[in-house]
Parts: sequence; C-alpha cells; structure tokens
Amino acid sequence: MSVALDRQIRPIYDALDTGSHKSAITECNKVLKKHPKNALVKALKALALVRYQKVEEALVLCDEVLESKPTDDSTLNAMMHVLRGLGRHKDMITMYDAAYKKQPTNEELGAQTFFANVRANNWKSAQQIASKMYKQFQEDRYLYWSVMSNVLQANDTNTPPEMRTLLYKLALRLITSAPTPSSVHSDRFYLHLTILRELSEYDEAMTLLETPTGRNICEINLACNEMRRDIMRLRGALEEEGKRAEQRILERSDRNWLEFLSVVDGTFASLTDSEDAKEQSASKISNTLALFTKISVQDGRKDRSGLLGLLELEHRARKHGVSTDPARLLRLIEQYFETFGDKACCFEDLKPYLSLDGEDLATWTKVLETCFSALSSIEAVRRAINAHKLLRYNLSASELSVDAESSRATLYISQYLEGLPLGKALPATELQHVDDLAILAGSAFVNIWKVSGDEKYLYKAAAILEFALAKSKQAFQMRLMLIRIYRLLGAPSVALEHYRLLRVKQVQNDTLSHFVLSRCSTFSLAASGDLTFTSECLESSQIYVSNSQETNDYVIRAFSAEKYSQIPQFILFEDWLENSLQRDITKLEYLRMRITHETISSDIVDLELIELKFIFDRLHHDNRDFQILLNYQPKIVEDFNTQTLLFDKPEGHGWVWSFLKSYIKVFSHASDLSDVVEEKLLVGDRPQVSPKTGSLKDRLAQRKDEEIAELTRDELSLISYIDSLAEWLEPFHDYVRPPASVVLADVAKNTELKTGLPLRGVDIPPPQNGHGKKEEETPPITDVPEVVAGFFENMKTRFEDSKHAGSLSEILHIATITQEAFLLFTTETMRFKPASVVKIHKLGNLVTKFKPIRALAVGVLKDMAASLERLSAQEGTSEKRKEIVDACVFESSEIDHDIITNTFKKVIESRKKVLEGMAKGLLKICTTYDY
Amino acid sequence: MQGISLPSRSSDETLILLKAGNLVNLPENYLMKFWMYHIMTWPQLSFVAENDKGHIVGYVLAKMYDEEESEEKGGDIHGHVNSISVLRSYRRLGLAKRLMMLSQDAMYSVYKAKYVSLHVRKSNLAAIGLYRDTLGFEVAEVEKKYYGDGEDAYVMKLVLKNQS
Repeated sequence: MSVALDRQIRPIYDALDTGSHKSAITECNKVLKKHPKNALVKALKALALVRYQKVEEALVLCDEVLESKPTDDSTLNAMMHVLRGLGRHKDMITMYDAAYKKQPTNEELGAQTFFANVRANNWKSAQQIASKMYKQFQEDRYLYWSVMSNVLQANDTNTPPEMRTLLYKLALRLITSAPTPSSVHSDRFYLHLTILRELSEYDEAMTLLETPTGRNICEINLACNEMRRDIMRLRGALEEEGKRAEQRILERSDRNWLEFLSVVDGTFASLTDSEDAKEQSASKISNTLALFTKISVQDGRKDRSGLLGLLELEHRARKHGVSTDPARLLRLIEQYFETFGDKACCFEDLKPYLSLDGEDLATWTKVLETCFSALSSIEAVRRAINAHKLLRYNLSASELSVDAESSRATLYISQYLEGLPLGKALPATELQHVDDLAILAGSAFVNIWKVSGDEKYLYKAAAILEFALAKSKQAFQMRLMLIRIYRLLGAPSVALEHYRLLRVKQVQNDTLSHFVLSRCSTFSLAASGDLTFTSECLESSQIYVSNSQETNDYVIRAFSAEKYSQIPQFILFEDWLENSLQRDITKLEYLRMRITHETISSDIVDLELIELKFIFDRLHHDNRDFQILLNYQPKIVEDFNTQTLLFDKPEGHGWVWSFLKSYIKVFSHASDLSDVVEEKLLVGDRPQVSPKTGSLKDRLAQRKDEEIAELTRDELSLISYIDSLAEWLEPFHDYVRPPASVVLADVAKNTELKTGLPLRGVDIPPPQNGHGKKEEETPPITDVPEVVAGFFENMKTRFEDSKHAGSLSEILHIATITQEAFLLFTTETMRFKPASVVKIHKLGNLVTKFKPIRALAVGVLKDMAASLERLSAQEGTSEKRKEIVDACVFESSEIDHDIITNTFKKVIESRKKVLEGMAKGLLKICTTYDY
Repeated sequence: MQGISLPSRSSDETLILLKAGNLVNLPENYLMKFWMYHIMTWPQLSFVAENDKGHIVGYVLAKMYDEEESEEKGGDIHGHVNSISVLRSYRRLGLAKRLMMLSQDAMYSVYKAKYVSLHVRKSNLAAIGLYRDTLGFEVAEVEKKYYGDGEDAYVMKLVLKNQS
C-alpha cells in the first residue's frame, strides 16, 4: 500500500475506533472516489455500514469484496468483523479457506481459517485444517488442535452416538502419535486423560497417572486431579481412593470435604448382601469411625469436617442397614449442634441428617427448645436462629395451624427485637446478626397466607421484612422475598424497585431476571405508553448479545494458549447462555407487550416471525436460579419458592413451547413470508437445527400434556382459543397469500428504492398471475368455531368471579389474557381487512362473521376497563389504607409505624397505578382496533 | 455445605460464572470477559468453595505480574489478589484463609512468585485483620483515592516462602 493511501485510510480506522460510523462512511467515500476498486476500503465501509445499521448497503459491498477473494491481512481482518456483524460465519470460512489455499505456507492464515471454523462450531473442517497445518508446519500444538476438534465434534449434540466412539478413537490415535508425550503440558495431559476416560481405557489412564510426571501434574493441577479421582471411581477402585484420601487427611491435614467423602465411599465400596461382606464392612466402618473421631477431637471447633464425616458415615450405615448403634445418629446431631450451633451454616449442615422420628425426634425437639437463653451475645443469637430453623424444619401438620404459626411469628419478632441492639455499631455495609429471625417471621406469615388465603398475612410478611431491611440494607435475601410478595399483591412497581436495588449484573441478568420478568406482561402498562417492563426486558437481554460476541473470542484464545481443559467449558457456557430458557421467556414477554404498544403491522409480524422460528429450533437450557431464595419452611409444606410463585404455576419449557406455537401459528398466517421467501432473504447463517422429527406444521399442531400443565387456567383458554381460530382461518390465508415470486419482486423493488442497487442473489421469476385472482375456488366458508365464539363471554365471567374472590394480580392476569386474545384476533384477520382483497377472493361471507366477534371482544374489554377503573378508585381511599395498616399492627411497639405506613402507601399507589393504567390501555386498544 | 469441599475449582471453572449468580451480595462488578481472562491465563490461582449442592459460597480471583510488568513495583515476579469473597452465612469458618492459602501456594509453586500483594479498603477492618493477623500481610503503602467512591486503599504485601 502506498504511503499516501495509508495516510488516507488511517482516519477511517480512527473513526471506527471511536464509534463515529457516519464519519467513517464519509472518509471511505472520499478514498473510494480515487480508488474505487480498493478492497480494504470497501471492507471498512461495509463494516461502518453494518455498525450504522445499514445492512442492505453493507451486504452489497460485502459481496463485492468476497468475490475479489482477498488475501491481505487488513482486508481479511476487516471482513471478519463485517461477517461476524452479519452473522455470516459460513462466508467467513469460505473467505479464509480461499485465502489460505492461495498462500498455503502462510501460518497465520492457516490459524485464522482454523478459528473461522471454530467460530462456526464447524469441528470437522477445523480438524482437517489443523491436520494440514501440522503436516505443513510440524508444530505439536496443531496436532493437539486437531485432537481437540475431534473431541468437540464427538461431543456435539448433532453427532450420532455411533460416530462418537470412532471420533474418540481417532483422537487417541493422533495423540499417541505425537513426538513428545502429552505429560509435558498439563492441559495436553488433561485432554489425553479425557479421551482415555471416554473410551473406558482406565488401565492405560492409570499408567499415565502413575508416572512421576503424571503424579506431579495431579499435585498442582486440580482439573487433572479431579479427572484422576473420576477415573478411579469409574474403575471401581473406591477403596484404593479411600486409602489415598485417608493419607491426605492424616499426613497433609487436608480438610477438603471431597477427601472425606472418598473415605466414606471407600468404606462402603465392597458392601454386598452376603454375611461375610457385612462382617468385613463392620471392621471397615469402625476404622473410619476411629479416623473421623480422631480428627474431630483434634480439630475441635476449628474444623467441621471430622464431625460431619461421622454424621455422613452413620447416615450411610443406616441406609445400608449396617448401623450398629441406634442412638448414635441423635448423639452425633446433638454433639454437632453443641459444637457448631453458633455457626451460621449449622442448620444447612445438619439438614441432610434430620430424618428423625418418634422418641428421637421428641428428645431432639426438647434439646432445641431448652437451648434458648437471653440473646445477649452474637453467639447466643446464632444459636437461637439455628434452633428455630431446626425446630421449624421438623414441624408436623398439627403444629401448623394459623394460631400456632402466628404465635411462632410473634416469638421470632420479639427475639428479633431483643437481639437487634447487638448490631448497633455495625457499619451500614454489614448485615444485622438477627436478620434471619425476621426472615423466619416473614416465612411464617407467608405460610399462614398460603393456608388461609388471607392477604392480610402477606402484608404482615412485607411489613416485618421491610422493617428489617431498613436496618440491614444489604440483606438481598429479604429483597428477593419482598419482590415475590409484592408481585402476589399486585404491586409491580414496588417489586421492580427492589429488584433494581439488587443491582443485578452480568450473567445474573440471565439467572435472576425471572424474579421480575416472569409473566411480567400481566403488569405491563405498555398499551398506555409506559414502557418500563419492555425496556427491562431489553436491558436484561444485553447479556446474550455480549455472550455471542465475547465468549467465542475466548474459545479462540483458549486454543492459542493451549488451554484444552477450558475449551469445552467455554463452549458449554456459551451454549447455555445462547440457548437460555430465560432468554426466550423474556423474548416472549417482550413480544406480548410489544403488540399492545405498537400498531400491529406486517413489518412487526414478519420480523418477529423469523425470530420466533429461530427460537423454535433451540434446545433450551434452564439457568434460572430459584435456590437463591432462602427456605425455612417446614419440610412437610411447599418451599418458599413454590409458595410464592405467581398464579401457582412455574413456567418452563412447556410454557415457552405453548406460547411459541401460538404466536408462530398466528404470525405465519398473517405474514407473506413463506419458507421460500425467508430462505432467500435471510442475511446471517441459520442457527444449528437440532435434529427434530416432523415438519414445522406438524410440530406446531402438537400440544403435549406436560406443556399444558405449565399454563394457568386462563392461559390454557387463550391457547385453545388461538388453536381453533387459527385452524378456522388457515385455508383462507393460504388461499389469499400472494405467491413467493410476487413477494420477492416486491422486496426487490423496495430494496432498490432504498439502496439504489438491485437486490442481489435472488432470482425473481416474472410473476405469473400478479396480484390477480387465483384459478382455484374460494374455500368453503365455515362457521365460527364454538371455542372462538364463546371465549370472550367466558373471560367476562372469569373476570367477574375473580373480582369478588380473587387477588389483584389474578384480575390483571384475566384482563391481559383477554386483551391478548383480541390482539391476536386482529393479527389473524388483518389480511382480510382491505375491501379489495375481500372482493377479489369472494370472502364477504367470511368477513361478516368477524364483526360480531370483534364487537363482543371490544364490549368485554371496555367493561373490564370500567371495572378496573372503579377498583383503582377504591384503592386510593383512606379506609382501604387504614384497613391494611391496621392489619399489620404488631404486638411490639418497637416496630416503627412510619416504615409500615410508608411501605403500604407505596403498595397502594402501585396497585392504583397498575389498575388505572391497565384500564386506559384496554380502552386505547379498543379504539385502535375497533373497525 | 458439608465441611468444605474447597478446591472444587476443578471441573467447571467457567460454569462457575453461571453458578456464581448466587452471589448477589458480592461487591464486584467484573465483566464476564474479565473472569474468563483470569481463569484462562492463571487457572491455578483462582479457587472457589462450593457447598454440597454445588453452590458457590466463596471465591478468590488472582493474577500474576511478571518481572517486566513488575518493573515499577520493585521488579520481582509476584502474585496479586484481585478479589476474595465469602457468602455471609459461610463466614467465620476459615474459608477466606484457606482460599488465600491455596492461591498463595500456587503462586509460589507454579509461578515462583516472590511475594503477593492486594488492595484493601482502609475502612475494612475485618479484612485487614484477616490479612495481617491471620495471614501475615503487612501494609506496604497507601494508595490515595484508589476506590471509585474516593476511599483510600492499603496495599498489603506478604513475602512468599515454601509453606506446605
């Protein structure tokens, strides 16, 4: 490149670096005037265009550069970014392939070609390129790249099982052919062991592990050591491993719990039903007993492993029916509580061993009940908290009456207040020592609400938690509980406020956003212009964008740095996020809200349809974290998470499938994009399709029981309504929809208008019939299906019933589902709106059947709006406020009345606002679509 | 948690990123790529503690400075602890100490680090207590306004010797 040209290009890079895409485009145009053929400048312009969201224009340039088959680094690099931006990984491979073929001795190009395949998960070609590079450049690492590619291909879900072993065998042959042994490098060693384990070649794996270098690696590399442990287990060498673990515990004072588990596993390894074996195991058990007792005495209060080991040993002995001392379990539990009862984790430690009954349980309960002393020290507080949790865990049904739970809650609160002064001097960043007592009180109230159905107790739970949270600002567990409670109470904005205070970041957007985004369309006021929840959906989805951009880079970097043990994990991580269930739950909620806010048009329908069909091919992974909610409910009742799920229905894969199918059905009816058209217009690569049976249409038609089970009663009504509506109108859509050639010609015309260039890569046969009338007859007009005809009346009845009995969130749920049904009706009938279409296709008789349905729907929605408005007015009254505040008077006067009053003011405001906004939104939608 | 299954950094370092979603109360706001970079570059130095359900209850994230990078800091190759945290209900069990020891051991044995350094808020007395009294760190210098909110940091150092 000439110096002059170089000087002209530099400002382009600068502009790109600083994100000034527009000025980058201007700079490119300047240079292109003088050098119209310069591939690098064209590539850079394409990049600027992609980033400036001018995809159509970028495509034209991009294709030109690709045709020129570039080989220089800068152009390739710029093109790599362009193609990544467009999602065209396959073209990236073709481009690098061609460049590498032209310069087969260029090592860097080879590596880039390899990486391009890695980015596209194209393991087979990646493997071939790596082998070729190994032959050419004789570098060990390229051999390992090809081995790794084989392993990854074997692990790919699309690889048939019978191929897997073959690929692993090939990998093994390659790895053993290496001139230097794998043990020179711990990650190569790890890869080698992975392959041997997969092929069940345990003896050979052991030979490697027993070499001095093998042992050394396991000493310092935990991944390899874990692998060693795994291989020992698979070999069935549990006893041997147990002995080794014992040595580590004794000689190196290792207190890794996994070592203790290995010892226990070894103890019971050879236990069978024969009497001999039982006798033998008795001596083994007593050896382990002696070992753990020794450790527990030696460590005292310094470490829990010894005593916990004894508990685990007794627990297993009981499970195997070889326990010799019926009193030992209780004794150990008592001893553990005695020794570690003032550690915060004592309850969680003991939980697995608490299956006591009869007299044992009575004795244990007595021990706990008598352990309460004055809460004058932090240790005493912790011990009391543990005792409460342990007692509560074993409560029986008869001990869970409203009265019993209420007096328990009162006790928790009074002890909470008693111990609170102990934390007076704590800095604001610290948690109060007594927090868990407030959480216990909140749990008890929620449990009473669940039993009695009386919302008063939810308010009580909220009051004590808000009070405690004000004293302990970082107590995120309380926030999470409050979020659940406020959603149940129909106060979404208060729940959202708490959620935002959690400052959820990075991957937590995936694992925790379900707290506010699950079924959030119920509370969305998007129809009346409030986009709070839609923007929350968009924000939380950012993580998926950065995942697809960044994680891939790390796979590449891991190859460069030869971190083979990490590559499969990076890939899995990327996959879990890419195919996250929450991602698509959020997507669906977003869509459900979007159609209430934006005018439904063919643009929205087309774009959303393509995306929904992509999602429909995903194999979802559920990363949602529900365990994070503390659960101190008795073991015989549902856990706190289950108790506080909105509408009592956890949504998961089945919910996603149900809504996806419904929306795809309606949108593909409303859209002109047939598969043929979509195929031609799609810019990026298709996502890898999981091997599924049946056509899209067959798959859409299936409704499985386990899917239905995740729907609320009203969601189920909606889904059945959509199914009949879609089935009824499908023949008419198919009849009216213009043929692919017409649609493509249309798109081409629009593209040319927009970019000044013809649409590339699409051959358009001249339209045969144009928009003219079809040859075949209009399908016979059929009656409105009963499910469709009766839907809105039914929802009206549901609404009236729940207005008297149900909770506010349920009322909102029924209203939003009815609204959604109306919007989808509008979408499904949009095609038949123009009078000319009706006339040409002789559909007058069909269209007249729409009118009464629409009129009914509008009538029902308007009634609902009026009711919601009345309810909203009631929320605002001072009587209502007094009623709630009075419900929450606690016996203790120490609980600040102001906090309670202020909290409930916010709750009432929020309820009022959501009712009012929902009413407004319903009316707006009625006005927009009542034609 | 059953005892402490400490070095479970093992089989799923990256998936920890997902699991670590539990740690809502952690103060750090690192980007994913920051984690990935550390895990990949110095895999031996970072550890997590898990409970028996596989939930992460604590972690230490550390890195190395080699001789060149260390130039202005005294020229010796040394380790640096970026971040250490233990879930509140699992405090007072010696977890933080053990996480630190594991990381320090690896700094010494794998990278031949001469010393380890870290930053701590001047106000964080509990942490300073752990570093100084339990682990033997000393305050080497004060960095004014090191933290975003304007608080000063102590730079603490510990010379590494063969400990195990």
